[in-house]
Amino acid sequence: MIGRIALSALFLAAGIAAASAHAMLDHASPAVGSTVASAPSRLTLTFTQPIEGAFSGATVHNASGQRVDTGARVGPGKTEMQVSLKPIPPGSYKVNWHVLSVDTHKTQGSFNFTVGGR
Amino acid sequence: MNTRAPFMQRLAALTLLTTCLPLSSAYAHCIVGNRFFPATLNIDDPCVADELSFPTISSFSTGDQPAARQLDISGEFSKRITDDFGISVGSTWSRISEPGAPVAYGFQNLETAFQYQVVKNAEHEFAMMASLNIEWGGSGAQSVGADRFTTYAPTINFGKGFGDLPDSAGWLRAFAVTGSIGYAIPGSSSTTSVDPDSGDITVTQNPRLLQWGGSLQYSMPYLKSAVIDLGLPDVVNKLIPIVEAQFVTPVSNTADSGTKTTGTINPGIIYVGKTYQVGVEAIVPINRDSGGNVGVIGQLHLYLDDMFPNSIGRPIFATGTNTTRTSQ
Repeated sequence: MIGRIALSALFLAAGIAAASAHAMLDHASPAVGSTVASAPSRLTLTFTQPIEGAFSGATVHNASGQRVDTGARVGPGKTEMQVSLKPIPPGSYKVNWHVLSVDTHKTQGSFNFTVGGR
Repeated sequence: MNTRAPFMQRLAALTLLTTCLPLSSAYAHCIVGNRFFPATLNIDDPCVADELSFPTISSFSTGDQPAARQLDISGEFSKRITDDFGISVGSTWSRISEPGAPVAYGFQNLETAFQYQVVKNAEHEFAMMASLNIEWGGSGAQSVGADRFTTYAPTINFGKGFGDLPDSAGWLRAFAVTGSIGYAIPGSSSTTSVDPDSGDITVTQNPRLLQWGGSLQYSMPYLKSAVIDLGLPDVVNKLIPIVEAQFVTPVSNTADSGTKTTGTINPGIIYVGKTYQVGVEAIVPINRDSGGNVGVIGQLHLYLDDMFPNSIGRPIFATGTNTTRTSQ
């Protein structure tokens, strides 16, 4: 009996898993913690859930704290955010992102990437 | 005539253990900044949340001589009333097999907790929760060691991620610790019982207990999303290896219990899905009084705030958007 209840709970969880959840960073390009040879013109953040563009954003700063992005926008699929970058020299950069998922949960995070192998 | 029979001492030992374990069945999960603290299996973690732990199944041997085998099946429902205040209700069914004695089974005392989110600091990945845990005396079966008196345990839970270490710390930034410290105060300083066969009266002192513990965890999700994406398989990126530890130390009114610390150290692993997590840990007793051999605990934990974000998964009196796993 208890086993059946547990199994039902598991199926319930698995069934609803695809429905909604907090939007977490699934992957990024350039990748989290990576070093890229040449400066990218934009950054792409891919999230685990659809997000609301009006309440989501990202900024990129260089090692001295100067902002090097020119804005972020959420793509039509609602799981990708594109962040346009100014021409950036070799160095270390910090990305700060915040999103509101379509089921109204807020999340945020940050990571670094490096240009030019410094 | 006051006697302190071995049976009552065994019952006291069982009570110590079961007082410890039900506390462990209060769970929460949260995100603070970059950090996701999973629901830990044995100690509470530092966030108020909407969640359901069911089932939590553990099998272990007690510290009795000779050791009894105990199977626990428990569940707990946690509900936010406001963004920062919540309550939880939990219950445990136990089956105890003692050598040479009939198998005892039944429910432990009902447990409730009133929890308040004191701090969530995103920058330092730090969270703290204060709670009052109450085990309602007389609501469970005495045959499995449920107390006839109510116990009140004010408790502090905290969690700290190491993501604010310098970038040079690299992979160390994926570590986090959580901790819990509580003081269990019995509603009655002693328990009097009468042996139905001999008529002897037994008085057992109910000690006040320091309940403390913590966890050390290494977050693969954190490593991937905030430190370095190694391109590992998705299943690996959802694992959190963890070592939990929980201890109980009688600190006053210890005439019958003594002051020896009992507890377990539990190494294991947690898999974090989108709306649920599954965890399994070994239960390693720290001394003979804590258990006869290694046990095991497993749990399915459901994030109700993700499963039902617009109904039972949000606070009854929400101030805005759903912020359970938000960093501020």
